[in-house]
Amino acid sequence: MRTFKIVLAGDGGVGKTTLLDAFRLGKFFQHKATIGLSISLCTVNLGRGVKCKLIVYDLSGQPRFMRLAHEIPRILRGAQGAILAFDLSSFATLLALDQWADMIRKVNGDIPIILVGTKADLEPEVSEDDIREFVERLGARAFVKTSSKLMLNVDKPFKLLVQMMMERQEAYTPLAVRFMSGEIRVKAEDGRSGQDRRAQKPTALHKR
Amino acid sequence: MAKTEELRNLLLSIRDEVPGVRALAVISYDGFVIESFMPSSVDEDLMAAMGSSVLSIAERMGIDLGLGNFELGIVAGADGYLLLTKAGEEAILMVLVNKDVKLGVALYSVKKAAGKVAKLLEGIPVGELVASRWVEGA
Repeated sequence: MRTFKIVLAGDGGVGKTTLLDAFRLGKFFQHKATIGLSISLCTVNLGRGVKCKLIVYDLSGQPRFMRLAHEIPRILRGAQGAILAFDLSSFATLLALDQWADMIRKVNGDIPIILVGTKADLEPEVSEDDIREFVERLGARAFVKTSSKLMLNVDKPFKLLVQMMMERQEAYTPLAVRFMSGEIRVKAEDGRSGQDRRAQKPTALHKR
Repeated sequence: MAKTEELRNLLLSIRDEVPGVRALAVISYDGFVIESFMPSSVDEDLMAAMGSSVLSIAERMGIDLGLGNFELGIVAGADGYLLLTKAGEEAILMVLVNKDVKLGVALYSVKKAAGKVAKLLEGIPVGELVASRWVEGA
């Protein structure tokens, strides 16, 4: 099963861990503030037998712990995608995402980022225009409105992100690695031996 | 012999040489499994993610507290020890040993083993080993 490392970040109290648990466990739980960092595993089922494993680095949004990721960027290194969450009922939580996006991009480059507005069940304080502006500003590939309390769209950000990461990985995995591992094989159309085939360009590539 | 196979064999020999080993793994600094021998009840991906985070934080604490370069991390439980050490610039060796081992001997053996892993991985992009692993398992 393909395994992806993702980062779940955002201001403290926006409901990151609650969203993750709503997706993972299918239930709404209220959580205390995450201490430092919590790492969880979950499986994303994309249908048609395609499943992926996510290692979710759920980072505390409390300012004192935010420094952890800032000071030890190695924790973020290798992430293939990120979910940046803010509380739709608190504009200040949206502003905090600039810093997270910068930190993540600095370490991992242009990985797919999904912007998530949580607590859609509450009176909104963030307008559609603000969201559009931030999607652009953060370079987010999508925006999803969620409510863990109502179990609204709790799986959507994870599924979307997996699809984006898979597309990106397909494009970036060095051909040599895929060839050596057998994912890609040279298709013998002329019946010649492997040694003979190595001497010439592959005639076609196909997946196992 | 492919590097992944060499690494697997090296880990098997470390498992035999280091006293009281219950499980061991070589992981990347990013928190991905490169090779491991873990009990089936344990999720190796989760352990790798946690192991690299623990080491990264411990390493930074050591530097800030003036302990110098990181050498080894020990997590002591009632029933055993988890030993974490760097194996070169891009990999970490995690070894789980029984509580009844002579800790000094285990530490020495693990550090020696980490040197062997580092030598084997020298010049190999760790990311490629990780990538080939997920492709194998796809």
